[in-house]
Amino acid sequence: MELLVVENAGTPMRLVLTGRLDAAGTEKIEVIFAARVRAAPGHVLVDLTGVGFVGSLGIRMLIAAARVAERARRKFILFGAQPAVAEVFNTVALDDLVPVTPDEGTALAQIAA
Amino acid sequence: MIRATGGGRLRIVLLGGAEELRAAQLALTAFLRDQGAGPRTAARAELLLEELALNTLRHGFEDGGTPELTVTAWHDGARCGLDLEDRGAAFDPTTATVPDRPGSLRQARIGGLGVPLVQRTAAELAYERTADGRNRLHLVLPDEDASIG
Repeated sequence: MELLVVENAGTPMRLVLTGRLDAAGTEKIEVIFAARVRAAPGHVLVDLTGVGFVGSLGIRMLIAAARVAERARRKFILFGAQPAVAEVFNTVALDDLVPVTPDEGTALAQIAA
Repeated sequence: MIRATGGGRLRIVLLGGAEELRAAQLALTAFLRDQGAGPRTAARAELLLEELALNTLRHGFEDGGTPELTVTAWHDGARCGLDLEDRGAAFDPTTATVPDRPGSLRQARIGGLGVPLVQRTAAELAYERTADGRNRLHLVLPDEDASIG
């Protein structure tokens, strides 16, 4: 599991996840992922385009980070989930809690709204 | 330990490591795809294996004993599924309470999503606690095109 942080002045921070958000993958990045969200200067986008699997530990990490962002009054949006990942999100109704959009453009439009 | 036993079955013994579990998931997918299962079925099998294995190996032996879980993946030509067996504390995921869906992020529980995922993903789920102290779980995966949740 890899985490790439993309920061450009004036745009939301983009956290790019690549690999599997299974137990091993989540345990590898959850501390730094949480720290980056906590320290984000503004809104946060999470790019899931390169994530092929997510389990309950990965969802727990995303919900915890979304809650941190909400407390800081920042938007936290997931985008680009592959079909298998989107099915797991639907199964636990994640999009009732955290905005999930199909692509980055839609996510940016939600930020701007 | 991962071993194809022939006759459309794959036997996996897990002892608790996250990397070991990942290797088992990849072997499970390879086995199911080789047996003719579709990609959605294989992805659901991986998810079920992850949630059930984590639950058993991280919580089922808190009162003692060496964590160990035996998983048999099977494909009978029409349907496929997983049979799991362990000697941990009795736990029946078919009757475990699933929390209501939270109305807001603030109300959401952090964690506890494994059992709901299992209950909502498996097409059939049957549990037995044997007289000699084993948990036995039999689950059938949904058809490739079935919607779940």
